[in-house]
Amino acid sequence: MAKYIVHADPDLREIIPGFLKNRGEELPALAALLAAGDLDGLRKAGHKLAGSGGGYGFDRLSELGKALEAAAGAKDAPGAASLLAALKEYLENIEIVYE
Amino acid sequence: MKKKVLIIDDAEEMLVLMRRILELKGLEVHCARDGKTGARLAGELLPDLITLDFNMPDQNGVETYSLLRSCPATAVIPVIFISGVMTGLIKRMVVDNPRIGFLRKPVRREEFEKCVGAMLSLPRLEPPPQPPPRKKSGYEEYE
Repeated sequence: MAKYIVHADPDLREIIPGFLKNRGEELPALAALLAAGDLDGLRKAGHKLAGSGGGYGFDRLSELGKALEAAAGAKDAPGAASLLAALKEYLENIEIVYE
Repeated sequence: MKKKVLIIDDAEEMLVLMRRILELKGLEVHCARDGKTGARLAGELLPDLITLDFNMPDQNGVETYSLLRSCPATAVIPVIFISGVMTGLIKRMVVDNPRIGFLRKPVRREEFEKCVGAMLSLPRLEPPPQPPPRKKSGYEEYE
């Protein structure tokens, strides 16, 4: 059962599935950045996520992106790892209601 | 005739989102993924409005804006800067020039539409006329 119900703009119905699919497909690349210690790469990825998520109606994605940007910017690898886990859990448990 | 908007942003998901919102408003939308391409397209298309991402690799929003300003035909096009933070530089630009707008990321549909509508309602300015070609001096006629 989905844990996160997101009420989204019906006019964005055509583009939201692609947006979420791409975010899900980015997860292995983000994990690889963390494994390689590329915190600057993670900071940039967090910045991008922070900038786009809320526009599509996913404020939680913007919050996670902002937190990832801050953790990676502070060279906090464990913090970034925990945020990536939260991001994965969120993306896997979203239910969208278009209204 | 549809009004034209050029979106300059390196993030694919932002291009897709803004294109969708603007097309729903009946606007003709063109996109560029970097500042150089954006400035070139602006010169070719002469859009009614440009939205410009502030934080882009290679050439950022301010550098791209300077490039637009350096060409008389694109210098008169209104620009909306889009950024995660309102820097002092953007603040000064927005205060000093009513043809520059600012939106903070994440861009919300309602405020995006409102800002775009306001900028598109500004009178379209024509670029200043080019100076006439220099007349040949009497001596040049004999060269």
